[in-house]
Amino acid sequence: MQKKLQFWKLFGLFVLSIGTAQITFAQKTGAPSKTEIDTAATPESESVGDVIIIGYGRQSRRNVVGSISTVTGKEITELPTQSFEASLQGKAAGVQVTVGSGMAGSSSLIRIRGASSISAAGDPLYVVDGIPVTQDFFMNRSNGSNFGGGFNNNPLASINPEDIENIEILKDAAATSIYGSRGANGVILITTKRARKSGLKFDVSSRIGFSMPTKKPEMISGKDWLQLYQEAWENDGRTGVPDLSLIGLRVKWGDVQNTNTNWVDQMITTGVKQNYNVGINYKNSKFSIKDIFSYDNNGSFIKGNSYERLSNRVNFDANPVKGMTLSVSHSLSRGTNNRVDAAWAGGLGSAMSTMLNIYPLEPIFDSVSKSYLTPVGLQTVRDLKSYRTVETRTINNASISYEITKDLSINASGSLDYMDYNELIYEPAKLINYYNSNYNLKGNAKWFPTWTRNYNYFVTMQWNKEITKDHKITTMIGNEYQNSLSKSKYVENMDASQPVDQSGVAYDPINPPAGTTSTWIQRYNTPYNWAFLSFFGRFNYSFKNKFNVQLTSRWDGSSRFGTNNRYGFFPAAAFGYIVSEESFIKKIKAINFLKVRAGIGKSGNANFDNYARWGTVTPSGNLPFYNGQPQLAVARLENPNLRWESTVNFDAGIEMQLFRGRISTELTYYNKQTSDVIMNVSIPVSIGFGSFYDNVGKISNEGLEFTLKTVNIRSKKFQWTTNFNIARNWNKITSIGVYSPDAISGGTNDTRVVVGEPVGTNFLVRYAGVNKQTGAPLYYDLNGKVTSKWDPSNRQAVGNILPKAFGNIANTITYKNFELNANLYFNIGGNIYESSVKRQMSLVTDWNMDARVISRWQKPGDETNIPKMTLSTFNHGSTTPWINTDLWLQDGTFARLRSLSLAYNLPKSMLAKSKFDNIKITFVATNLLTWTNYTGIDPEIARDFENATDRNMSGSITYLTTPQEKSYSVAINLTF
Amino acid sequence: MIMKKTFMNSHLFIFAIALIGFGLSSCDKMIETPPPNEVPIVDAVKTADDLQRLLNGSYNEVANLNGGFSQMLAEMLGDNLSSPNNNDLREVYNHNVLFFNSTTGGYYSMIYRSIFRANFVESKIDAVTGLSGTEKDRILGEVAFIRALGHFTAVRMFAQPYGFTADNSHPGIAVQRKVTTQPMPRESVGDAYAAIISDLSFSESKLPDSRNADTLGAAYPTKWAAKALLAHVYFQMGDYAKAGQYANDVIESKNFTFSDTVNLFDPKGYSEHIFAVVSNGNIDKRSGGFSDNYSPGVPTCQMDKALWASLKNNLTDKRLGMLSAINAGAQNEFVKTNQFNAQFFNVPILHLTQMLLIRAESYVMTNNNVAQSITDINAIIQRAYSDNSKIVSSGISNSALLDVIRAERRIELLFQGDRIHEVKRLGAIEKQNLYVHGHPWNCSGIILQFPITEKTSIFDINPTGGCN
Repeated sequence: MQKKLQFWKLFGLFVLSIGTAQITFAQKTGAPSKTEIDTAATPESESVGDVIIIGYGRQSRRNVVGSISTVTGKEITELPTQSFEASLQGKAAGVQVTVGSGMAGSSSLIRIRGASSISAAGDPLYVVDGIPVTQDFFMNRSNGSNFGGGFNNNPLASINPEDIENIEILKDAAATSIYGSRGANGVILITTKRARKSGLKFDVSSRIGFSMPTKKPEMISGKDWLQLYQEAWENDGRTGVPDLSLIGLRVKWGDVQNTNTNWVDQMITTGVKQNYNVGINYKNSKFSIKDIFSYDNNGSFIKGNSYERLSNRVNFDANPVKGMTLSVSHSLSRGTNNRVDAAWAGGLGSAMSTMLNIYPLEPIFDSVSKSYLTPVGLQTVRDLKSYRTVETRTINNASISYEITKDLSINASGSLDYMDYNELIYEPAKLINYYNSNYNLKGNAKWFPTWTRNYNYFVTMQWNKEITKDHKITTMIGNEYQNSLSKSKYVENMDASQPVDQSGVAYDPINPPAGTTSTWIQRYNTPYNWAFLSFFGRFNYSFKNKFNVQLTSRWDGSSRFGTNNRYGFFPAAAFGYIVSEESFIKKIKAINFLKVRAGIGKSGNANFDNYARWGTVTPSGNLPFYNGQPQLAVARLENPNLRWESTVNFDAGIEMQLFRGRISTELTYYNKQTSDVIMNVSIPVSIGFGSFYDNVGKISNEGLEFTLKTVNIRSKKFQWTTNFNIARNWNKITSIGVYSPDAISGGTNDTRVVVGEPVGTNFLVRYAGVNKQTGAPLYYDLNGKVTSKWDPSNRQAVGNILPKAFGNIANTITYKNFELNANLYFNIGGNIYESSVKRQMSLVTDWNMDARVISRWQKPGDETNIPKMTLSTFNHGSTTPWINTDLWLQDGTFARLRSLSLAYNLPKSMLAKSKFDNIKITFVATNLLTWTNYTGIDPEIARDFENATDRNMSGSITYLTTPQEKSYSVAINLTF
Repeated sequence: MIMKKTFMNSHLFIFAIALIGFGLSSCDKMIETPPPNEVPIVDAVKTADDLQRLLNGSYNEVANLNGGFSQMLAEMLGDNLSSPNNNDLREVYNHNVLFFNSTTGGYYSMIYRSIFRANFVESKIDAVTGLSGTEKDRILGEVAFIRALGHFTAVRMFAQPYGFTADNSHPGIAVQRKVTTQPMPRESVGDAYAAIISDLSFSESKLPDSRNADTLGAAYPTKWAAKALLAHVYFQMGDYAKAGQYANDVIESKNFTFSDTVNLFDPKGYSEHIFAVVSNGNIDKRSGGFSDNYSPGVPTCQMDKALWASLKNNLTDKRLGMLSAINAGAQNEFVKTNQFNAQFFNVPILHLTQMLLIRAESYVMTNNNVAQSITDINAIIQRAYSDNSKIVSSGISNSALLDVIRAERRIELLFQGDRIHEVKRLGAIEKQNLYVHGHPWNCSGIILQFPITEKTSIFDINPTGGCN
């Protein structure tokens, strides 16, 4: 409650400040002159006069009847983020962007208008220049390797942010149902830059910066850890010199009294970021060409971790004959992620867990057992282990459009998105010897390549007819096909003297060097293949340019749908009414533009397992034989009814511009009812197999989005504008069939599906504090009675991961040639569950401990929430260790100064004699300040997971998660 | 104007035709991408060989389950072992299994996987061509046998015993006699036993008298295996007349030879195996549930100290010769068995000694041919002891004879997972007040807990713990 008050106070202050500014301004200047207003009323992106990209076409923003937000390329590139999608944070109401972590290349978790998926991926559909691109966040998982480092490869990181002209975010059914079975979680349309200005122009820019963690993990010292161990030892009734072998350590108590290695500090450094871009723009009457060449090296604050991207894009357009436009786009990029282990896999994660500060930098060798008594030092691992992923990606598109008549045109487009992704790991003999001193091979090299080719074509035909001046019709019909094939393999050489060449040339697994055959392993994984075949159409009718009706429909067939549901139909209808065209509104001077719109439609989500519908058999279990006879088993039963998740989405909004553009505002209400939710249900095992993809659930999302843009002050030298957006979402699971909250296969997470509660509900035993006399923890049972026994039957819904509301306040102040920009992002509500802290603050084990453990119970009478130290889980009333209770659950409310930038444009007068059109220098800082009551490391958490269910359900469950990054950069932009 | 319109219309027409034609001709093929490395079911089950392979897939689970895993968990519930150094198993030992226990959860899923795979074979039997009537009978008989064995294992481990309530209406298990993807309700113990008996009676009538002993041995069930399992089922139900009769049928078939060795897990004892989990070497090894848990270093499964103390002075008992006390007399003393030290061996699930013990006890209980009981138990005693001091004489009272039979049963079937079911049978059927390390035979936690995923609106799981 206190937290919320604090936040709303902040918000109130903001509203008040705007109000005051308005009044002050009005008093000072009176009515502004017309010219002044016109310039002021044209914010760069979302002015009503713009033409924006919609699915398979364009439309003037004025006539759009759906809910679409636009983000400009400039907004995308102004921050040095890990990947372009992180820059979407705060830019559009209802688009929740949680930046992954400070790891280089990390992926952000994006949810548009709440959460409506459980086991199907909940991410929006990303479309680059007409092709839904490869966006598998769990690539290579069949190797068990991509996630080996505790980090998900981000397939979007290889897309160069500099290439992006605009991003349109489609939110409601009127906008998304043209994407049919794949539009339900929203669509992100990315349009790349094309040559605009005539003649030859160059844009050159560069940015250099530094990064550091927003907050460092605070662990206790070696000495404190020993003290806690001794305390636990004595609490458990033992006496004498503590014996560390009880928790599996091999070092003796006396040997580690004076060691204190701060492993966290060993892992963290100041990251260096560099970015260079050259843009060439040429245009004449016949053709135009745009080339963007970029190099980016984004070093994180983790030593040895960086994402390097080298990319080039050529976009070519020509008009060979009248009425015909030919466009070709080609991008080629190589993203190299210099990886380090994280989270549970090692590195900083180990510094927070298994690497006790009592361990020395170099492990202690025991000459008797010929083995090491302590683990190998983290920086030794980092220095010796070579680990990187190299992704070469090319996204290509060719399209031709032809105006057959004034009213009729056709358009054909073909695209190819090809990705060659290699994960390369090399551990030399020296490193492996630390783990196993008997190892006498040269080193271990692993190569996990994945190749994904993804192509589509679509053909559309448009017929636009102005029947009379008052009646206009626009229609479009089309057909699209998309097919994606992903192959991967696992190659390992256990006797390799050098890393695998990333091209695979360094060795040939088919013909391995003589005499070493037994050390080679090569295995092909099941290829993933999927396809969509679609037919779609859109009909628009406009009456007197003030009343717009739109009907869209799409039929989608997919390889993923069961035989009984090969095609889905997704219709939508919407209207927009520009009320300000009516004379009775025109009379009101204050209102310049007023539109109301509403729409209803159906869209789907088909982003689930490629082969879930197929019933198949494979050799089963551990052996291909039983009693020497060959055996087979059913891998999956056929599910002929499997189909898309279906979302019926109602949306109604009102858009307004007041006081000649001084205030523009938009308020939208939406109601999304999703049924046939795909759940990877852990069916009752008595059915005979583990889990099963099925359409069983129902989820409801309802919400409000509000956007307010104000020009607070506008004078010749000084301008101040504010953009504010906020979205509130109500989420509820309304059905999970006959199943129980534990029926969803996820595995590592601690959230459950509970009817009547939101997606990602923290389902935990309630913690009742510490017995003041004994220091033992207490719990509540389901009746609210205090008990000393932890029993999972007493779990209940105590929180959930989804925020109640989130939004952004952006202020831009321009004074002469200076521009100051501040973005404040805020997140209200939503819980954070600290899944690793239960091991860092309760039992004393072979794990490092969190500094917050200092407030533990120590003697009778102590009032605290942290129970007494002990070595035995039985003293915590449980038969198993690492028990989940709401003691580790916190409120995730925060606000952060996402960015603060100051730019200076060299005065035109200075440039007049030079060749430069523009020179701009910008200082930018990100995540400078954070306000929160969360006591952990950083409240913005999007943990990396192994599957879509966990990504949907447990995003904010931390587990040794790397903190966010804070950065300072300086950039220079030249145009000539 | 007219020209223009025609032009437009013709294009529109051609385009529309092309679109529709293209769509109709190739739609389904364009979106058909079957999983490349797996065989779709429709193509996988066509011949008798395919069916046999799938049946072997079910035996694979039967083998993994009964190669020691099932026996070990049953012993953990009982009082032959001491408290193990393993969190999951300790919950079993303490009769307080949580629904998150992954060991018992995995065990439960293996039981039903074997049943599902058997049911799947049954569901595809008519899809296969060229199957003779005899072959069809055999396959269906094996399916029913596997199903009955699975259900019998599940109902004894996850539900209170037969006789716990007078009408056996207390909650039992899900009975799966068909392939389904829908959750099933929890049936009563009485209904579960009825299903088991019905399946076994079917098996008994369909299974062959014998299999080719050279290649198949006891790895596949015969009519005698069905009868032997029926003997166990009726014995557990306290229907001693039927139990004795089925045991007698098996014994008198003379298909199984009483062995000289006390260790039926040794090749010399294989002649007694009616149905066994077969190991064919180090790679195709199915006895790990015994060899891994009982043999290495400080094993997970150590003998209960009180039981050891009560037995260790019977120096002439060859069966106890397989046991050894390590660090004897010291604080860290433990008792382990050397019975499972071989690298791999066949594990008998149904064997002749069990039949002799069932017949001996059943005949006394029904007071019918008690002389045969004495002969049976004396055969076992003579094999077990190096002298004749324990031989039972014909003048013995029925109750004293019963005591001898039951005492021998415990030692004879030590570590084979029999003890807990014996305790429950005596508790439920004979109304004895029996305790397993202090917990009454019928307390709520003395059965395994279902994995939490089993809970649905039509299936209530067991209460947790409750044994004090």
